Parts: sequence; structure tokens; C-alpha cells
Amino acid sequence: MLNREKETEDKEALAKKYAEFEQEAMPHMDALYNFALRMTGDPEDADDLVQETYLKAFKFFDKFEKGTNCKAWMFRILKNSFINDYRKTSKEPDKVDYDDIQNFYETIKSSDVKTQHVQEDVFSQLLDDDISKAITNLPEDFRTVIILSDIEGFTYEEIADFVDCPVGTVRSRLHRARKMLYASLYDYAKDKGYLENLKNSNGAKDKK
Amino acid sequence: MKINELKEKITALIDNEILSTEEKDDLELQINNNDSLYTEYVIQKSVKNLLQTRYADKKAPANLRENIAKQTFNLYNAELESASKRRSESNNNLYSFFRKPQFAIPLVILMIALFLSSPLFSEKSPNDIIIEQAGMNNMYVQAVNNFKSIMKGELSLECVSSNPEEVKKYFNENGVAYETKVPTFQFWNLAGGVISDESGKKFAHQVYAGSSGQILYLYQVDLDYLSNNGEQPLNLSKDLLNYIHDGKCLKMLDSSYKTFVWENEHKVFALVTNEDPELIEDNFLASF
Repeated sequence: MLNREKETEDKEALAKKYAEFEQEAMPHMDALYNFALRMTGDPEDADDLVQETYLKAFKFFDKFEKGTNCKAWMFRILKNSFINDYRKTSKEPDKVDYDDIQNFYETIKSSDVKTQHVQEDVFSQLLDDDISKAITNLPEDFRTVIILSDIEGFTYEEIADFVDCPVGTVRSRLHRARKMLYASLYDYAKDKGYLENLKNSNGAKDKK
Repeated sequence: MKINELKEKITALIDNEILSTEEKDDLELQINNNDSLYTEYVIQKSVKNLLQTRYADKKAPANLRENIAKQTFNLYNAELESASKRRSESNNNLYSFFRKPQFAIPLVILMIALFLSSPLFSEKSPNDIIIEQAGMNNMYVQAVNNFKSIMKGELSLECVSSNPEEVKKYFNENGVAYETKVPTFQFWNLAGGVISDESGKKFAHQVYAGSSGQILYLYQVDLDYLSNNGEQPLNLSKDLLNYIHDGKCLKMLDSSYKTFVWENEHKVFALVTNEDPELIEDNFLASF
């Protein structure tokens, strides 16, 4: 093949890479930005982290296996950058005493939990800020899995790959994370008097 | 099966992670017949629903989108340019020899060896080099993080002085074991210095301030304390060390802050600032 033809071929390959990157990676920017914001807690750090993630992703886009989950691939790049550069004050994630958590959520009594639609009515009165604060206050291990599962819609296997632990651990953390979050939101609702409305609601459980 | 195991299975049921229909039916039956399991189901389901409906992703800021689009386009152009360079390099007079079998193999080996050792092969763009910088002991990463901490008010000066001699004295008397450079400038006032500690070695940082909120943070490290392989307390990638050793200044101007890294008098300097980069190049860098 002539050099000129080879050069044209190289350029076409690069143009294809650029177009594929635009198509595959760019649509995940909102999700990456929100995740970065929730992990760093700072809009400027989140901006930098997402920019760095995109530059790395473009650089190594050849390594991305076409047809696999690009969003999960981008999240892994973001996580590595976060660990390297942004988790600066505490080099390790918060150490969690799992027994404490067990005790914490076991204080929720069955009698406090109403039917699902009543429960959702109570939670619907909470402000977005209350929900956001409750998520931010979760320990990092738990915050990560609940965001990835309930907000970003990743499967257990994808989350396990992301947090580098077995699928069973993901399920267990997610289970605990939801209970911790429930307990926090329940407290917010109680403090703000939303639970008063429950007194008049029908106590019968509309079982599944 | 223990009750706690069943409760965790409820999480998987809600997330559609139980594949067996039999297992699903069995679990649903148990949920309907056990208050504690039902409670668990309500908790898990209502939290998941709440997050899905109330905590959706917000839009990434428009300026972030623009920056990323611009930077990836720049990277794309840089790769195009580099591909063209490589191609024209290989288009030389030796091409005809490849057609002669007796020269073909030795020449292929020679060409590969020449190509691998050529500066073109190893030359990386500043963006590529910046991307390589990673880890808590990386001087570049530390410089950027320290600048951000200063901007957030999380890192304060230990020696507050506009007198360069006082700041130098502070560095010398507090364990910085190399000669430091503390110049003064027309546009920015020296605010003071702070010392960091890496594996018992002390390092000098100084800050300058402009009249309209501009901050210039300078980190200077003697070359003897830097390596690319973890043998020294601080590191920078080999490409970055080579780049600045050739007398070039590595600049990163696309972010909300600007970074400059260069080598001078056996020391490496990293400047991170929110100041106009042209002013920095004409006034600050010119002093080194």
C-alpha cells in the first residue's frame, strides 16, 4: 500500500474513533458529573474530575471493547482518577463498623413501617436537599453502591466490577445502604412532622 | 435459610437480580406471610423508588461540556498531526530496498529499531504527559491539589511575609535542605510560604497574590528528591522529567486553573494559578 493511502487510512481510523467516542462516551457526561459531584462534594473538583476522565477515555478509547457498556467503562476511569487524585484528605475510604450499622438500622421497628404507598407519600414531602444530605452522609462504600444501583441503574455485576468486590458484597451493602438511608429519611420526616399525617392513615397493610 | 439472608434476597428481588422464577415465587410467598420480611420489602422498595423518582441526574454545566468538547477535539487534532508526522518520517529513500529480498529482513529490523529510538516515537504532547501524572506522591498532583485547597481556604500559610528573605529563612530554618528561589514581582505580592513533609523530607511552597483575587502558588523541589519510579519521596513521570529537562515548560491552560512545570538550576518548579497565562509567561516565568 502506498504511504499516501496508508496515511488516509490512518486519518479515517482516527476520524472514526472521534465519531464513535462522541456517540458512545459523550451521552454519559451528566451521569459522570453527578457521580463526581456526589463523591467529591465540590462542583469545581467534580468539573476537573470529569474533564480528566474524558481526556483519559479519549486517549485510551482503542482499549474500550466495542459493544460492552461504555458507561461502566467511563465510571471505572473516573473512579481510578478519584482514588489517585481527589481522595486527598483521607487516603482510604471511611472505615465502617458494620456492627454499628447493623445496630443502627435494627432500631427501625416493623410498626414504624407503613404500607409502601403511605411510605412513599411521606417521603414525597421531603425536600430534595433532605434526600441529598441523607445520601451524602452515608459512608463512601454504601453511598457508592446505592448511587450506582438506584440512580445510575448498573447491575450487581457491573457494580462489583466497579468497587472490586464480589456480587454478594454488593447486594449486602446495597441492602444496608437502603436501610440506613431509610432510617435517616424517617428521622427527617419525623422532625418535620410529616409522620403526623400517618396517624390518620389506614394501618392495614396492602400486601404484595 | 436465616432471616437475614432472606432479607438480603429481598434486595436482589427488587433489583431484578434473582433469575430463577421458582426462587422468586418462593420469596414472594414468604414476604406475604411474614411481617418482618414484608417490612423489609417496603423499606427497600420505597427507598429505591424514591431515589429513582426524586434524585435523577442534573445536567452537567454547559462550560464543562464545552471544555470537554474542545479538549477532546484538540486531542483528536494532535493525534492526526502525529499520525501524519510518523507517516512522512517512514516515507524515505530506503523504501525501494524493501523490494530486494536480500535486504528486506535486516532493513525491517533496522527500521523498527530506528523508529523506536527516534524522538518522534517517544515525543508526547503536553496533554498526554499531564494524563500520566497520578498518585498522592506525584508533585504535579500535589501542586494542583494544594492550589485547590488554598482556594477553598483549607491550606493556610505558616510564614506570612512579603519579604522574600524572611520566607527563604523560614524555609532554611525549618528543614528545607535545598536552596530556594523566592523572587518578587511587580504585579503580585508575596504572601508567604508553607512547608510540606514527605517521608521526613521537607519541601518549600510559596504563594503570591494579585490585587483582584489572583493566586499564584509555586511548589519547588530539588531534582534529587524526584524520581519516576518511587525511589524518592516525590515523583513525576519520566516523560515529564525528560520534557522539562530539555528546557521546555509544560503548560496546561485548558482547566479553570493554569499549570506550568519547568526545571531551573537543578530544581523543578510547579506553578498553579488562576492568573492570565500570558501575564504569567511574560512576567513570572521570565524571572526563572
